[in-house]
Amino acid sequence: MAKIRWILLALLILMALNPLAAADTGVIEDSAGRSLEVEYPLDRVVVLTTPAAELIRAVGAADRVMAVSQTIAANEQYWPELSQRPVVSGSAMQEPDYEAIVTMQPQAVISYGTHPAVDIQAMADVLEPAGIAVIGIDGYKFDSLHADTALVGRLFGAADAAQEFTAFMEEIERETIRRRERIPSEARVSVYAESHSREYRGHGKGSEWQFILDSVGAENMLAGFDQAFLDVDPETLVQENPDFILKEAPRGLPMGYGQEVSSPVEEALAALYGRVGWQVLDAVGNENLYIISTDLGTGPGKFIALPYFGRILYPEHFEDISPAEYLEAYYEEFQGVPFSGFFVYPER
Amino acid sequence: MNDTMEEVSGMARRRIRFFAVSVGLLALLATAAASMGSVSLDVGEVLRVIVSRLFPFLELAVEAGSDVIVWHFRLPRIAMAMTAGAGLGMSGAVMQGVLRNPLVSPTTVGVAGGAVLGAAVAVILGFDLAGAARFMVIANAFVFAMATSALILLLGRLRGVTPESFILVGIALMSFFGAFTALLQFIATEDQLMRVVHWTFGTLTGSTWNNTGLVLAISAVSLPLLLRLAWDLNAMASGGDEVAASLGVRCGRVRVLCMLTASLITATVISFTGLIGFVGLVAPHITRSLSGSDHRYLIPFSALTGAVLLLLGDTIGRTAFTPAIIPVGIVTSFIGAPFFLYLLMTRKGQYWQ
Repeated sequence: MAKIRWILLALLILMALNPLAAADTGVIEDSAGRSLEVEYPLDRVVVLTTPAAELIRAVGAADRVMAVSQTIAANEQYWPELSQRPVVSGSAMQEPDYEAIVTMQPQAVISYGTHPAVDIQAMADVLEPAGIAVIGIDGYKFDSLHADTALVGRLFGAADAAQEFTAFMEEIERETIRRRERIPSEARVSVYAESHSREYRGHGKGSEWQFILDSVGAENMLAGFDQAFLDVDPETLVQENPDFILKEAPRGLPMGYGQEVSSPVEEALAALYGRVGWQVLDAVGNENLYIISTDLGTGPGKFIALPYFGRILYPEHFEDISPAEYLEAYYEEFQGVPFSGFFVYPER
Repeated sequence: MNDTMEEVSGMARRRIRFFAVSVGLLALLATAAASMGSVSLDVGEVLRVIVSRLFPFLELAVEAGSDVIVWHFRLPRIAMAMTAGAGLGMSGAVMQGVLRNPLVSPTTVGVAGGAVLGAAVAVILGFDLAGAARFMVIANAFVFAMATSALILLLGRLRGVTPESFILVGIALMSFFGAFTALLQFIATEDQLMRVVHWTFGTLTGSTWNNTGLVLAISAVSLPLLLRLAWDLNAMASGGDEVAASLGVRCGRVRVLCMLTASLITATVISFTGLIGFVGLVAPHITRSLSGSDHRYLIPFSALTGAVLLLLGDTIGRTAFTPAIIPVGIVTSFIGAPFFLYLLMTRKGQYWQ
């Protein structure tokens, strides 16, 4: 009897040591709310989106990415390793090269889950019959970021690293809220936040920036509108006369990671100050116009936008916090790339 | 003989009535538009701003905010709505006449496809910067639109300057450029795609006195030229090229001149506003059904109808959901199309003549 017990124990030890036994099949729920049976930890994946690639790199699993989209491959400075991988799609919004993917036999393909321009189920219909899991991971929305991070941790067998990343983001949010609580309600400022896409297209209540403005205790001039973005009548600005105007940097304006202040950025700010009729606005008279890089507040490190906005809108309450240090930690510790660049202009 | 005289004087009465009603309507609309908006200003305040701006030596005290709202936001926008609408209306009338086809407008055949491609090239391939980008999209849209019309004229000429050849070449180029635009959109990022799509919903936000002045100047220079060609257009539209030629009309030359002028006006307008599709098609039809198809009247009257349509559309788009703005390109189709259908259904068989 004792002999059998020893044999059983030996078998158990063997099973634990066997690498095959470490693989686990489980049911996960992806960002799109789809229930999937996936075998993890994942070793061979194709990643089509930047936020998912950043999350995977943040949990230390970038070496398990075997192919990427052109969006990732094109940025060699930010993706020194992944830019060298085979490219199987133009961007997440385009149809990928299914034949190339099937030939590579990855365990999974990762793209956006809820992005309006991506039909994750259509991709799954093609790849699942070939035994390839298709997983939607957003990684770019405040309300799902922590869940997305946890999912990446689970899928890549890096739950601790994922937890560490989430703790980092939560600390930033906590520090911001703590300072917001100190701002008296009569000192709350109002903000007109303009989209990068065109003049007088503002951020409404449904936009991601609403979360940032709420977190720092500022009032969005267009919070009365449920949409993410809306075209606004210019005269409303004169009536509402917001304390601050924040303009999301138009695409192509050299701001953000790896950039240095240059004349196009200075000219863009001057063009904002020079907008027809804006001379009567308090935000213009008080020099409260800022351009915000789209690298801020968009990917998995998006909580770092909170203290940046805090420093712009309430300098006296946020002077003891250094948003740049958070960004430095994000880039150097979690992404493994050297920190450089400027993210708001004029710099705060 | 008596009957014909009566018919003529009946037509003259209809024209006078049309002119009076449309000018009155335009004045009424402009006044209403100037005093409507997301900020409520009474007519007196609006007038004060206008008087203080026109006669600065009176030194009227005006609130800075009202001054900006009326003088920099509302009035240039109203002026642009009227001039752009007028330009689109008259180029539509000219193109329908010269190509003898009721489906033609500057935006259905010809320049629009080029303008959209030009805007897409600027947004997707070009450097894209606040301020500078604005100019780049305008310049690109204009250059591409004019290049397209030059190409239509060139290819149409090779095939013999007939209406069909211009229309067919126009349609072929539209879909060719459409394919180019689609290809660019396919490689575009989501934001670039949004900007191009938004450009195709024309809007009057961002109108300034300067760009309104430019559109006005181009239209004002073109109108006398088009009116000089109105007789020739009448001959070509009613009798066809053969009859017109027998009356001494050089049909090919008239057609090229008209197409070029209409394209120039349209290209200038839509490069500033983005695509505004329906006005150029529908304004001439409305005008024709109310005041006849004599081009000496049809061209300037279509300008009036276009101005009314665009101003009405923009005022609705600007005030219906304040402070949100619905781009005028969407609104004009919403109000223009049902009205067009109404005219079409109630005036069976006589909408063209």
